[in-house]
Amino acid sequence: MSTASKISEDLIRSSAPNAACAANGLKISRSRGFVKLYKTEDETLIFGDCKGSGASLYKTSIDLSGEAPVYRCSCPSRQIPCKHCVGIMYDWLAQKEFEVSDIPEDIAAKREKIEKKAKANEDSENSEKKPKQNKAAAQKKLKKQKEGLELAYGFVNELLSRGVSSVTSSSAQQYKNLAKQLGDYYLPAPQAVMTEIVSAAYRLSASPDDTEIHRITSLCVRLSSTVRKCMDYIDKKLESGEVLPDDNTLYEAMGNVWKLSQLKEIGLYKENAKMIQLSFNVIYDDLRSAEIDKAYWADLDTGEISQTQNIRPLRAAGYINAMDSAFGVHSIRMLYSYPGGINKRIRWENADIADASPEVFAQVLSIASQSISETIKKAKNELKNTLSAPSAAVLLKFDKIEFSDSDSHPVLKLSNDTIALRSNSENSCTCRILRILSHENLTNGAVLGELYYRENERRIYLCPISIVNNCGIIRLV
Amino acid sequence: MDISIFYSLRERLYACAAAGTDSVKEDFRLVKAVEAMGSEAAQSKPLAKLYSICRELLTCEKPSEKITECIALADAIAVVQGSYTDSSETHEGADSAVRTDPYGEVSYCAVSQYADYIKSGAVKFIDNIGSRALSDDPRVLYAFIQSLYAKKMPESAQLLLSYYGCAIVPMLKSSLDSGNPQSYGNIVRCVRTLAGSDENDWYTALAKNENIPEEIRAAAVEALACSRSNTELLIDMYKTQKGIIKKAALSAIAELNPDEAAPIFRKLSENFKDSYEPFFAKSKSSVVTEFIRENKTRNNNMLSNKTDADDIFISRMGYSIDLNNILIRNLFDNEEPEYRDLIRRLYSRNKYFLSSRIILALSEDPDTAYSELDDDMYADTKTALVPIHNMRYVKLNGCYYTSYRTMVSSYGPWLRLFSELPQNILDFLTNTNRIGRLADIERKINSPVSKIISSVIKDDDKKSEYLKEKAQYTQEIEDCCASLIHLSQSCSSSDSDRIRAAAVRFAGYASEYCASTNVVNILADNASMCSPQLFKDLYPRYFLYVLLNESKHTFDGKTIDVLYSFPLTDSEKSAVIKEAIVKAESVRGGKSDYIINRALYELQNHPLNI
Repeated sequence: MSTASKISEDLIRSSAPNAACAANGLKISRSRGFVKLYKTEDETLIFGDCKGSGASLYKTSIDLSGEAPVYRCSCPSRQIPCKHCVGIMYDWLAQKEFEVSDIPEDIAAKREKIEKKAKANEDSENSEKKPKQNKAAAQKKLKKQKEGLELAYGFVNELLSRGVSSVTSSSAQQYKNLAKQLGDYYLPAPQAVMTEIVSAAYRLSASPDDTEIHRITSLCVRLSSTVRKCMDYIDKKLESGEVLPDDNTLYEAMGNVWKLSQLKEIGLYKENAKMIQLSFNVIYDDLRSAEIDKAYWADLDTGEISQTQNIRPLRAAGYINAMDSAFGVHSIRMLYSYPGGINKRIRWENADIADASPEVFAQVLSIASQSISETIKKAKNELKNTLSAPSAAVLLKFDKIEFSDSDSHPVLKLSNDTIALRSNSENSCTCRILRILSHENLTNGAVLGELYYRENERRIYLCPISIVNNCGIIRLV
Repeated sequence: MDISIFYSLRERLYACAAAGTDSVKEDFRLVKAVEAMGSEAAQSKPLAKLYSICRELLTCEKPSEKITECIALADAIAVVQGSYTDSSETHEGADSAVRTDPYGEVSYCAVSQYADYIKSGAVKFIDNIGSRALSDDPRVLYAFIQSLYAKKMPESAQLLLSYYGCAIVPMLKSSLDSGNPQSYGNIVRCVRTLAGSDENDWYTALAKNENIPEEIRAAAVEALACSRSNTELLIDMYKTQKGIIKKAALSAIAELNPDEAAPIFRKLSENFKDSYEPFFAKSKSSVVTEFIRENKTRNNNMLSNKTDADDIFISRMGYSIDLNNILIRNLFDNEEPEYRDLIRRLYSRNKYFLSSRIILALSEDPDTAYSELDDDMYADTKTALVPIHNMRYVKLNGCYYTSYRTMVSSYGPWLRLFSELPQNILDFLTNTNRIGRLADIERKINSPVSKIISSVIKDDDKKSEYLKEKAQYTQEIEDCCASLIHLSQSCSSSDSDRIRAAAVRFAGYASEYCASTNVVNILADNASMCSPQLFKDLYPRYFLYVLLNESKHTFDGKTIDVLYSFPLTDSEKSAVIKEAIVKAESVRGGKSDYIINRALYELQNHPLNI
């Protein structure tokens, strides 16, 4: 059980759904928005009445008795926590006077309900019984998905037969309708690619552009490969009768969403993991029309570089909490990983965070790869797969990072090998920031970077994202 | 193995997909590329596989299905073939002189927010975040350098440059993107601000380089004004160059003011055009001063940078443009004592130049600035308060700054003042003489003699004079309180308690005679430092003040919020509000007019339901 003393600037920043909400909460606190402020004697609950735009005061409370704070407010906002909850936390930080009061009845009832639910969950976890999974439903879904995949396959073949530059306004409309239909077949991922192909191809007919033609063709190849592989995958599953999700990336490639319980079921989890975040970035994904909070993490035991992705579709951006950088060593009781290659996606529910000591940074350095060629070899195996991401994150040691005399691009040197560092579109200014660092920062460390292939130059480059050395992690994004 | 054959095949495959696979059999260039691949196929298994499926593509029934397979394999081979080694000649990075701390554990959101502030260029944001870890983060420094690429120099640039200091110069120089035609000259201007003539060789090289964007070159030519040794080059450029380079050379000549400048400006004076104005403003030449004196132009901006023009300044005091702007800008742009002497001379002749004199006093000795000019300051409190009201503590630099936005510059220069607020400024703001005078007036208005006079003699003039004086002193107290509020919100943490204590003392005393908004705000914000009895007394008077001054205040929810913050019980508040409304109605002749109705409406509908 924790108390209101847990409230800190960091907690507010990390729990606020976005920066605007945090700023508005601060504004409420500064403008004395709360007309009454209360706390329980044990300080596990703070609550108050806040003025709003309506006639009646909003009842806001923060219950800190559980593992994670529970935010409640009677305002109509769908954000959790809303600006009023953030405001009351700022009031607490500002050491305003909170009157001691009994816990309100409705909150006491809710607390009781949560406790009962938690106990029931705990009991079910301890019991041997596994939840029953509906095989018939899974089979039906797979069949439906296959029908949809056939539609998508037909589309991509037709487009390639006619040529990607042949899309007219009428054919674009037909294709768009087809893409819309794909939504009925539980195939959101291929649907998104298809929609993008149609829109881009239509735009192309108005203003031809070689680079764009190349991009659309690549998308067609990717869609076609995905569809073919997924159809084979479904056929095999239907034949074998093993219709439930398994450790295969194609499950997600069709747009299915993994539940933690499913990952646990197929054994994709690790107990008592120690992770440290190496980088954090917010990127915009055109295909999904979503912002993605993407972070790379190092497993301090195995040295694996994994990633977390918090996908926030624009249409729901206001309702999904944005993430931010995380510092310190995260001790995770149950770490779930998705099926994948070199940088598996990971998730967890709760973690204990401890400050990272110099020993931890030394440990991160020790897990970094010691050979450029070996690292490149592994990455190439990943990058050549049509379905994999266009870059592979690696943690690579370096003796020195220096700058080219000709155009000042950074060059990583390790033993007698070298690799050029070039920023990619997601981390566009990292190489320039490297120039700001002193040469002590660029000697005997490791770089977390994304290896990617630049087609027009036919070269593999490393895009630096963070530098690790004995003193800490230098984030370039 | 000739790998170019493979790349040429890959290119053809993409071209075929773009054009449509229906005509694949007629695509002779693809056919040729596939045939050429045949000779290389034996070199490796993947190439052999590619060759094989490409041949199938040329003959199969459904080439659209096959081509994706071909491209996917070609892409995979291309990735595997990708090289990575870099044999460039290299050099080490920067040394550690630049003020950065890359280990500050600053979050992505904090950096993004701060970078947006910097990009906006607004100074008010810069001191919002005073965390050293944030300011020293290399990502923030990078965002600052990027902000200099805007067409207009960001207002915050001056503060940040003074924070990062000369160590940033090599980085600024290396970040100059002279290959980008959209680049402007801000980077060069920043280097000049920090390094002055130390970087003369760099400016000269840029000024002579005809292959870089003109905006950058022009900024470099202007920067040549840093050294007299550039005179010959500048004169030559003025004579031989065209457009903005010629103008930049003229601007630098005007600033340097060598002997050769006189004939140039004499010639320009003979055929004066409005477009010459910026150069005439920059010029220190006596030829230009003479030209202005002869009244050939009425443009006061041209008085900038002139030192021997007392008579012109005095004769033009009535013009709409504030001459103080020009005199203050001179202080920021020039170190010569002549500019200071000019202000002293002008101020001794006319108090119109008080603004310039205060800024001069603040720049020379802030500890005595407000006590030195005591009488004049009290005579013109409004003017004396301007530099205080523009004062802000910049946590980044640990210093107070004040600005004086001038009309001749696009952004206001920031004058670095002190790290601790001098007591003489607080003494000036909290001088109780103003309250004493207000008390005298109150006594005169309310004295029995005055009432007799007003009823018997009906001396309306006398009464209105009293009321006018009362309004003036009330306004002065309000203005002083506004400055105290501003200072308490934008001061250093070590000054905070001293300012708050002085403000509460002053407002507490002032509240006895004037329950105006700023006075009440100070007390409400520092309720813990006041006695509850003060608020019991103040509550109805402030309420009445708002009701009776509807021209200045709108009675709305905010007014009730201020009232609510008083440490009184709801019933106490309710009672005094009712009492105040009755009193206001009686004062206003018993008429239930608009403002009182509005107040009643607001009170009934406020969530507090007082």
